[in-house]
Amino acid sequence: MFDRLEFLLNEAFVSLRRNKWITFAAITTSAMALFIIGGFAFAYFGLASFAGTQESKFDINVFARTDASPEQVQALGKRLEKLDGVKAVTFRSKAEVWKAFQKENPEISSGLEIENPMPDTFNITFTDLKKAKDIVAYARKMPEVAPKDGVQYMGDVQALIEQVMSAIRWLGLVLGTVMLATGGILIYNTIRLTMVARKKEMRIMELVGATRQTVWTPLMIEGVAEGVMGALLATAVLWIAHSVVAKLLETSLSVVKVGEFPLAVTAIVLCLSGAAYGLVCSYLAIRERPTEELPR
Amino acid sequence: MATAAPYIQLNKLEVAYNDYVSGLRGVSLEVSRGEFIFLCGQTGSGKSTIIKVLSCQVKPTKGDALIDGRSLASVTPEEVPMLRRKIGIVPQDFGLLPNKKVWENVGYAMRAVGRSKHEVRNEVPAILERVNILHRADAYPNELSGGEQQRVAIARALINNPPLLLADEPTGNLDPGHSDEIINILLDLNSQGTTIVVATHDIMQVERANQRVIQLAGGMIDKGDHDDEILQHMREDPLEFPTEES
Ligand SMILES: Nc1ncnc2c1ncn2[C@@H]1O[C@H](COP(=O)(O)OP(=O)(O)OP(=O)(O)O)[C@@H](O)[C@H]1O
Ligand SMILES: [Mg+2]
Repeated sequence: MFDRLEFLLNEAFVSLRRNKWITFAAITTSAMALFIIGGFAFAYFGLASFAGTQESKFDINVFARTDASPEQVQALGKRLEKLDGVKAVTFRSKAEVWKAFQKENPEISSGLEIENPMPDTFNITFTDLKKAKDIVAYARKMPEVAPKDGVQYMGDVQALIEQVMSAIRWLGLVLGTVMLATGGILIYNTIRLTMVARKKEMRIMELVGATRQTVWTPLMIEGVAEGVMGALLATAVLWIAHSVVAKLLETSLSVVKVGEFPLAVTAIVLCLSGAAYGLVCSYLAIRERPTEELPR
Repeated sequence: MATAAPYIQLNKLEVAYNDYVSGLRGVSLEVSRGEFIFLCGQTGSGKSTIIKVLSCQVKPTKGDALIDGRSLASVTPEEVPMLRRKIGIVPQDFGLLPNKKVWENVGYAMRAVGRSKHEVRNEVPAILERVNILHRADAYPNELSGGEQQRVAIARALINNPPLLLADEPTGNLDPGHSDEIINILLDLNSQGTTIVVATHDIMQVERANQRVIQLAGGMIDKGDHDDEILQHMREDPLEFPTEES
């Protein structure tokens, strides 16, 4: 049956070569679609894992009123420690906080002979992040806590990350869909063009009694080949983009560690999707053909 | 040579292309195995429609057509390829692939029906020899005369060794000399046992071949068998065909 396969493959590649430019367009658009979808998937999962690492670092600062007495501050610390969901409460006195601030920002604080403006500060970490909101609300109401901005809640960062992630999800979905549609239409069109270009061959095949599989398979192979080539191209571009972005992130934000590019997985997933996609598009193109003129 | 059961049978065959145009309006006809028949008639009389029905390109609207007892009205698209392998079809426009040599044209058709390269190498020369075109095996179609191209088209129709050969206007574009040659080849194939149906305008060839003639007019059979009166008329005045209601 190798002989058979050779014939079918040959038929498919003859037409791939014949309409080079349309093939090129179909491949690059499918590649772009897969690249966009893959790229957004990477950004999304990257951010998700980044957000995960942030969560473990998630903590809040509670500032005592500046006019609270040391006893009151101590009592506040005790009460905070007892709250459900709190892992640890560390105390830093106003003097310590001020010293640390001066050390970190010498250009702001040097020369200024002002009184220590910093409050006594409790840093709270959590065992259960879901309780964080309740704890924050509770702390805000306590009399010893500074009435305005008494609780520094890092949830804003969290919320921002979540917003960005949902934006990426939507953008990826919309752009990916648009590109997928474009790529699909182009694959579909290539097959239609092939069918026009090979009308004579197909007619002869049908005339001498070639089976439908014989007539159809080369066209399907063509669609699949376009999808797979698009996928390989997308993988390569993703790989390059990934290493560029990784370098950028690692040099500008030294804290962020970008993982290795999962080359094999990406290539396999994209190729399978590309192949399935090419198959569907070429099938749709073939199916639309009126095989025989059918009178009523 | 003809056996008792008819090989081709048309039963009140009707074909309507659409609500207004009918190709055939009730044709009944029997052809025995091994027969050679000409379908004659003026343009639009339904000759090609009969060929198309027999080659499963068009389905009967009413009535039926049977080949070897198989009803063509009930054929599904999946069954068409296997039926076509029992029928050699010679299209009027030859249908040769211009970028393939003569032997490749025949070989390509063989490959399309699942034959191996080995079979192509072994069988193509003999097939080309049958229609006397082997000496031009390496030529491209545009290097051939019309008659030679027609012979290649016939050769291609023979790849499945079909018991039935359908030819639509096989001499339509040829001068008398080449037409003779083609009809001789068809007669020769017929003498080897192939049933042959030829649609044609070519009254000279019909006469010369001296085979059964079905005269069609307006999608119906005008009269059975040899109709000397009409032949006579067409010979005298080939451009002015007898009128009929339409
Ligand atoms: N595909 C089609 N769609 C609509 N009408 C058609 C079609 N093919 C043929 N017809 C009509 O059917 C009738 C019979 O046509 P057919 O081709 O069988 O004639 P014919 O005898 O072969 O003519 P010619 O000698 O010109 O080849 C004609 O009126 C023609 O216009
Ligand atoms: Mg005709």
